[in-house]
Amino acid sequence: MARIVGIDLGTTNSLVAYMENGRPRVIPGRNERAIVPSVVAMTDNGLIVGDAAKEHLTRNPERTVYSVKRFMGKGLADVQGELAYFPYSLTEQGGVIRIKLGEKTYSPPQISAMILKELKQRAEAHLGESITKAVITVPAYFNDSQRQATKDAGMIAGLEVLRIINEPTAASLAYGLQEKTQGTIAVYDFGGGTFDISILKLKNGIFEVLATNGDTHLGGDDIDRRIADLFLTEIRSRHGVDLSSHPDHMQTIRLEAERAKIGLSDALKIQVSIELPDNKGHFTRELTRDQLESLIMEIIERTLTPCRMALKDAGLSPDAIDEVVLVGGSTRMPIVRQRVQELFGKTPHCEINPDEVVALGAAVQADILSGGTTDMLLLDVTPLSLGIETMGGVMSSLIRRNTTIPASAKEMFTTYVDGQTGVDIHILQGERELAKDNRSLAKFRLKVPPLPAGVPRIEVTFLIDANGILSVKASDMRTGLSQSIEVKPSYGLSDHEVEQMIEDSFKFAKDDVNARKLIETRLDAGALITTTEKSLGDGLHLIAEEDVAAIRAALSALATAQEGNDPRAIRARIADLEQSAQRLTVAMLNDSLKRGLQGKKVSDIT
Amino acid sequence: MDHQHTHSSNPRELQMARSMCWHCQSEVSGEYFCDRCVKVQPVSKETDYFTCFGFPRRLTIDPGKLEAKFYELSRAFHPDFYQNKSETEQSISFGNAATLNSAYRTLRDPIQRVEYLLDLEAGSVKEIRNSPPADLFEEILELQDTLDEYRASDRASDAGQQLRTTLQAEQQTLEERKRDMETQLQQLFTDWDLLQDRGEATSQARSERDRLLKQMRETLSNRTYVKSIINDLVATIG
Amino acid sequence: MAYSDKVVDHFNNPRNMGSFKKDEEGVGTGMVGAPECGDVMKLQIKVQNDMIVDAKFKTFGCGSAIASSSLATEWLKGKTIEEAQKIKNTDIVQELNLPPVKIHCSVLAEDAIKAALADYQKKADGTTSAAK
Repeated sequence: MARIVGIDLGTTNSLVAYMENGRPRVIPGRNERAIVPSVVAMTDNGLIVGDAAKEHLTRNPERTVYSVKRFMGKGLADVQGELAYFPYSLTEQGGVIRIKLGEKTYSPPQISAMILKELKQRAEAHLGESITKAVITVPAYFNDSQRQATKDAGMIAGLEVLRIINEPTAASLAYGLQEKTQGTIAVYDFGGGTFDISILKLKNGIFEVLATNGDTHLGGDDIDRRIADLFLTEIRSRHGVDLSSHPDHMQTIRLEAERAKIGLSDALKIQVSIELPDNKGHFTRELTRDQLESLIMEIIERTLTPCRMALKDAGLSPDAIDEVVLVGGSTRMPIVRQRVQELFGKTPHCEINPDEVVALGAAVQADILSGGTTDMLLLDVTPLSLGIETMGGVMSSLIRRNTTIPASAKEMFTTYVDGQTGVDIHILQGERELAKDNRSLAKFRLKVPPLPAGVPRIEVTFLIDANGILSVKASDMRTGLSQSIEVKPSYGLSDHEVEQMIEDSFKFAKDDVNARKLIETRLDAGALITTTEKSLGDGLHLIAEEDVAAIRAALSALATAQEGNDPRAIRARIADLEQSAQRLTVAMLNDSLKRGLQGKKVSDIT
Repeated sequence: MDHQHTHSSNPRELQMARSMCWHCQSEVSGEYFCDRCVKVQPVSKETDYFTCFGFPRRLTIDPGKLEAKFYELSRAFHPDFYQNKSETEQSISFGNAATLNSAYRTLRDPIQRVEYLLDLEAGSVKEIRNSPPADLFEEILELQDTLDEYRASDRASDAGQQLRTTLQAEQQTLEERKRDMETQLQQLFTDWDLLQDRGEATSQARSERDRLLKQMRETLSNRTYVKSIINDLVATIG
Repeated sequence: MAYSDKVVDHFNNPRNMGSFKKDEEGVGTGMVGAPECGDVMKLQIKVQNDMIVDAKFKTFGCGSAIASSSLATEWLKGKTIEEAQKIKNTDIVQELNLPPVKIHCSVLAEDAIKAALADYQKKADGTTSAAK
């Protein structure tokens, strides 16, 4: 079976990992960093992703997309309150947000697909094989539309998404594998844009999720905003400058706020400096950890309510939790660790890098799916109740939250009027009593044969698969015939749209031959650098010192060229390196041939 | 599979459980995997949750044993382990896992477990539908009036405070009653299991069976009424 | 799903909430419950000369149960005993467009009507025989 990789598609950063000899590993890029910032920029040379795109945040804010995960599976009305914070412009089409980048608009799954493609190529370059299958993580509290949007992103990127897995449970797999944890654990996952808490029971390789809760709109982004708002207010009162209408300066402030926040996880105070426009000098101030903590205390407190609710749903008191695991970059803040420790009454674990643990867990799940790991099994739950709208706009639950998935519920429908040929069904997800306060997932019309009222009996089955994604089946109990139901998602791309986007993604790639050539050349360069470095390590003793120096020089020249945007320049340096390394290659071949012969009998050779 | 339950299930059900392997057409009788081709078999719609777990139809269940069996069957059915199998097997795995999860959820909780047993034994229980407990209903409706009064009142006022105290006292009494009912149910569980273990087919055993079922139904119903008014109380006075 | 204004109105502003004295002459009381969900319904009729002149209810339960009993009392007023006997739960389901999960609420309302009628009949028979 082809290799399956695990992908953490994060709000701020994304990573790809794979399983090697029973251990999950993250895949580093050319710059040796495993993290790909989840940023996509439209430049004059085409679309760029990751570290390079991050540089465009301040240079080119209107055409640089970050935190796109916040828009997955959403309509414009859902994010009305925070539109002002984003420099790029958003519209809506068919219930789905669209992001305007230059002439074209892109749906959030398309932008996410660009990040996924970057990860895919990175994995392909590293592993030297084509990657077409992946496990992708999502926040546990993601609803059906958000999960579906993530799956769509995978498809657009040319990846078959074999499983959507919850981030906190992925983290528990990584911990379970590495630390051999047993008992009841709580995973506190505070990332860039979302917060999740999951409570699991680990026993004999089974990871049973007892309850999960969270907030898909609460993360490090909100902390940065709080700090940025402080700076903005102070700049206004101290310098009389309102920067809120300057997208590029807003980005500078946001990044400076982020830098201060990160710095204050280690330091007790930090100097802040922001350059003001029109030669007005700099805004400077000192920010202390105490000031930061009182500024964001309210946000930290907001994570504790879901924790208490999850405990309640699991029927457990805080002292019943044996271990607490911290996941996500925001858990690096001492105040977060302190509040979590106070709530659960024990020191939380953070042995595995909180930025990498989710991707590592996704790789473990990928290995389970490919049949590699057989002693571990994750039994996850659906985070939100699923139901249908009933009389008076009330939601009636069919599958309760925290039900183990896969799950199914059956409901019998009939008619009230003679000859009625359809029944409208509105599917909802959420915990509120009224339909309008819950998430509308889909509406569909159940086809019914025209018969006297009450005679038709259509059994509708609602299924939630292991990805937490809903499907609907219906069968006529009188005839035994099943009917396929076309469910129009309320906040998602239609199948047709996704197909179109997959086609487009290939077409654009073809249109943009240069960009494609550049990417491929860079990949070739990366692969050559990796193999040459390895050979150099193994065969150092086989060649003369000046040959080694020549190879090292060619290596560094190629590395520099690879950072640039000219595919021809990279090709030239590739040729140079191949030339310089030729003696090494020949020496190593001879050496291995010699050693190979030594180990064999003469009869084997002849 | 466990065959202890056979004395209480009817012959028709047994016949339904006997069927052919979807893949190699050899006979499978209730097993989850075909003896011959080792393909997973769909859990029959006729299989009740007790049978699905290989448990007899008893009301006292050891939670540890139930969990162990649930984990064992999850390892057998979970879609994670069918990723490389045929589409048919994947779909069977999905269906079986969903059924298994429902079964575990139902059997794990004593109240859901007995409700389910009453559904299974419905044939005779429907006829013994008990008369509604009029006194309890009057009490509930009166309490609801007091709740409405409290909702309309100024909570900080003396009258509001007084109503609150009254309601709190009511809540305590009701919670005590609920606990009593649960103790009563425990006793009925034991009685039911003992009767089933004896496995007698006498008319005396049959009438004892009907009495137990009827009493369980009644206690359960009353518990539900009490529980729903308690929930309302808790939601209103916190 | 779209609901008629009438239904939403029954749901938001239920009619005929309240009760009569049980032992008042001509009053029949039906007290029923749904053991599945814990809903309790008390429905009362006041009868003069075989005609239901007034009806009241008290319901502890969900919106559908309240709307069902509200509708039932509206329908009962002005009907003869014989006509009232003919009210079926399916009529309520149809009028309120109740979904399958809430059909038991209409059953509860029908049961309440039947119980109130039976109670009235029993009391009436009792009074007649006592007068004899």
